[in-house]
Amino acid sequence: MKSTSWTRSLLNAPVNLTWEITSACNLSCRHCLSAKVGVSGARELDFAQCAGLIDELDRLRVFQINFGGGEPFLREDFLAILEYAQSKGIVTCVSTNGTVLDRGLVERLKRMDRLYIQVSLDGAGEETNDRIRGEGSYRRILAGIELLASRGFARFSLNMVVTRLNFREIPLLDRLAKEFGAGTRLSRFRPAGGGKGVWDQLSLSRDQLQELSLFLGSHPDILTADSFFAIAARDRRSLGLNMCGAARMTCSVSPDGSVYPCAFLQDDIFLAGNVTRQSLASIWRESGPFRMMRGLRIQSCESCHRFDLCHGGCPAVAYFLTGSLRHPDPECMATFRQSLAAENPGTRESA
Amino acid sequence: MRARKESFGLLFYNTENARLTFVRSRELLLLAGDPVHGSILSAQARCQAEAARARRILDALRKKGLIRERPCTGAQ
Repeated sequence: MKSTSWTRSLLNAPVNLTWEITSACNLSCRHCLSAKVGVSGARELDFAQCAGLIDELDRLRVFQINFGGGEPFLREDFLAILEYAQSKGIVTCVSTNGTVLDRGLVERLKRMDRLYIQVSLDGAGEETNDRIRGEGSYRRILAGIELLASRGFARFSLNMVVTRLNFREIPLLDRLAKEFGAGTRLSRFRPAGGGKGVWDQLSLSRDQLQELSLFLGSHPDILTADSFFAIAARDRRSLGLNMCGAARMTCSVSPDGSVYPCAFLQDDIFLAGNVTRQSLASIWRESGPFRMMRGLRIQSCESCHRFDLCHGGCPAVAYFLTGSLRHPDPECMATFRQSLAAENPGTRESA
Repeated sequence: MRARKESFGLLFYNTENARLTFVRSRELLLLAGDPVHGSILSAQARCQAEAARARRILDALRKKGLIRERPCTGAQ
């Protein structure tokens, strides 16, 4: 998506929707986005409510649903929900930890044409992954991956949230993914949800961010579906988003039907409505938090030479680290280079 | 490929790679009616000038791979 006037105009509906279908999970990952967020004790949408939302997404021509959780497959009626979305022609992507996949389940998933699966794995090796996702999780996740590959499920990727613990293992993860015929996808670690409490322990250093930027620039086949655009090298400018899509292209629904501009912005001030009480269309068009996000300008970034690559970066990272949405992404490459230049007056900032 | 109407024109979504294509054409909106479920070419019947304009736009979309011609299989 390029920065053009129509991407700044109000779309009739989201292009895709992130839907945390359940908060139930059988792992306790240290950086979990969904930990400690949402309304405590809130009831999850039942099947009829989920089907009603899918009907509305179909009417609005939302192209894609990204299901996450919690662990979606722990929800007993999740396959029925998935199949219902598929029956509407909506592309579905499921983010799973892979531990509950079995042969029968994979066979049913194989029959779904427009289904993509991301299996979360936070290290190429057991020790690293288990430090983040819990003891014994690597072997269980790998069993799920092996099942997908051996049963011939072709449309899946291994997804790693990049932290300082697993940063060095990205090439190994990529090799592992290729061995299974899978893609590699990297997610940005953000200080939201459970990530707030471990940010200082797990976030990348400046040098690591620079190295990651160079690595991504030379590996266009590695997918980065979310807000890595703050550190994107120019080599990747034609790939994916170059600006925050929250409330412009996408939004997020939590297990109880609460709607937020983005899965990473689930604080109370971003609560835009609830699909059990309002239509998604009215929330999309009229809610205060969505209007606020669409009007967001990070003016201090607008004169930056990298502005066309990132438009100020991820507002969620800025919000949780600085308390302001209008602050430049604190992990922005340009900011780093300027800081480094200030610390070392002899060095020059490179484009 | 899926598509929907937007205020600026049409928004195409590639179901294979999630790539979006924004086609800025209000003219096409007027002619297309419903781009997914409707018949785009039926608009040609309105008048020759409109049909020629529609053909140019549709050709452009076809060259971009956003739409493809379907062979006519039924009786006329």
